Amino acid sequence: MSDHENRLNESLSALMDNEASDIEIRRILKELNAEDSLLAVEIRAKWWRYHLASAAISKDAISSVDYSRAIADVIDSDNSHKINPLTKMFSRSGTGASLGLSSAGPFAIAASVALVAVLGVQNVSNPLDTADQTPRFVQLDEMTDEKTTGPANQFPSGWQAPLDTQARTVSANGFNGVRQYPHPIVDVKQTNKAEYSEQEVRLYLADILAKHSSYAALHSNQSMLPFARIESYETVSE
Amino acid sequence: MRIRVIDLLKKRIKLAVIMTAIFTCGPSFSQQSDPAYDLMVRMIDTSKRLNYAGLVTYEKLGNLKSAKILHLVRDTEIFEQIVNLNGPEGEFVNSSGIKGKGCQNPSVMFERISPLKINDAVYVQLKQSYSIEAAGDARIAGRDAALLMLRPNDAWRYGYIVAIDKQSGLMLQSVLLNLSGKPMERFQFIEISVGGDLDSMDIPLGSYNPEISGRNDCELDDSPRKQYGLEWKANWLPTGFVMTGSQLDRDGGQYSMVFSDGLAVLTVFIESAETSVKVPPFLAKSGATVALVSKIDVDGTFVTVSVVGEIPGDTAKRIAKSLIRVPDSVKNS
Repeated sequence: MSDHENRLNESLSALMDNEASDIEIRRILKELNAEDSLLAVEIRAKWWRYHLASAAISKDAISSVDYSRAIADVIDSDNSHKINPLTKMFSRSGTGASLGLSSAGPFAIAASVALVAVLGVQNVSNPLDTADQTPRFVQLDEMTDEKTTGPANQFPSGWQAPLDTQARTVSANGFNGVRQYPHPIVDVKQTNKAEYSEQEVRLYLADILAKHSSYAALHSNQSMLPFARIESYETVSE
Repeated sequence: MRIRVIDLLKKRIKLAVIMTAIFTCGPSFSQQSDPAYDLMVRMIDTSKRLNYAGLVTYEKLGNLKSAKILHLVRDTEIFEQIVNLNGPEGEFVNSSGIKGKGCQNPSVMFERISPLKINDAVYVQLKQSYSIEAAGDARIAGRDAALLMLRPNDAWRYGYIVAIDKQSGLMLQSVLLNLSGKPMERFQFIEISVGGDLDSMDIPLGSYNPEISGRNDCELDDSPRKQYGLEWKANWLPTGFVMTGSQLDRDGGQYSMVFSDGLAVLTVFIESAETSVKVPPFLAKSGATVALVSKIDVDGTFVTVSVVGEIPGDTAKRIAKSLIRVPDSVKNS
């Protein structure tokens, strides 16, 4: 293995750990860009294998879709970055109108790349299409207590609602350790919370919880444990 | 020579018959050979047959609750009472007939099935959903108990550690573990008495709310004949979950379906238009219990559909998403 290859491998694993310097990133990109480079193919394959291993270790869904082409196409089809940066700067300093126009370009790329990522990843993660292939491991969806600091007063004691139930952020940065995996979003419509009475919501939640507990006591085979879960006894009789 | 061939054939057929017999007896064969599952099935059986009373603690999110429990079984009736001992005063009573003793509320369409449905089905259900293994011994409420570790076979449900009284077979402790193995709630007896005077004790009267018990009396049936009343169905459920009952309540305004995998229970509520407009979609969680309230577009109007259960949020979401309204043509066919 040549020195160049060794350096590339080191850079690649640094990039994988999100610790690559600018020079290392440039080294990889340069190699990838070189035409007829056998190393480029190897790097791509290695990159893919690293992610496969990382996904397998963290029990994530493994995607076989390669988005790089789609993302590259989107970037290619956008002209704004092809303009000489100097020209761009001059035109910005010119009129206010051209400023608006030139800044819309990068935003459009970001938006369309995000769209590709969302559609692609949801396609992989959406388990509803393959109902018979129940995955052995699903994404952990343990809402941590820090996240569940919603309007506590709206719910019975001990109950909290996360604020971001309906709106989910989608992150495409899959290799920085923190994986924000998009889930299929339940068919909920964003609604104006002010329309709802807190009292009604609290009563409704208490009602379904109490009913669930009493059904569970009959069906769970766990003796009287489900009764112990009932939070608010007053609402049971309402 | 010919005779010997026939003999050989006969032997083979015998062997084949024996093998077939072994395979067809497969479930009961394996059932006998797995003491952990046997212990679990015994626990389920005794928890519904025995008279017991005691003190329990219930721990969740760092809070400890203590309560007094009474469980009495008579010929036609099960009486269950839990009284809060700390925090706000409260009492919950469930008094119900073992075999639906008739509904007081005419709006309730279904009768309740026998909770004493302990058979191979539970065993098979547990086997599908959890791998159960013995995890040593423990001493709980002053009694010797066997510990069982119930690991979920997939990540659509939680795991448990249960302690079962060696003498009576009752569950003395249940710890529910999240998907990464951390305890989310602990239910534990600190004192328990089984049988004895409780076997002849009269069922307490006057302490319970007839409205609640009336509701519970009229609960839940899974007989296929009555399934024609179903308008909704879940297209997806985790392996092992089956519908154990359904009910139309609140003067026909709320339809609920109960599903269980033998241990975990989840309830799906489908609300009337009247209730639907009052409740926003949200997801709330407390300890192991998740309540997902979502809206489904049915012919232009949003119907509120709620999934409540001791299940991971993802499971609730996937079930909610899989709910469909069964077309009339299918219902009537």
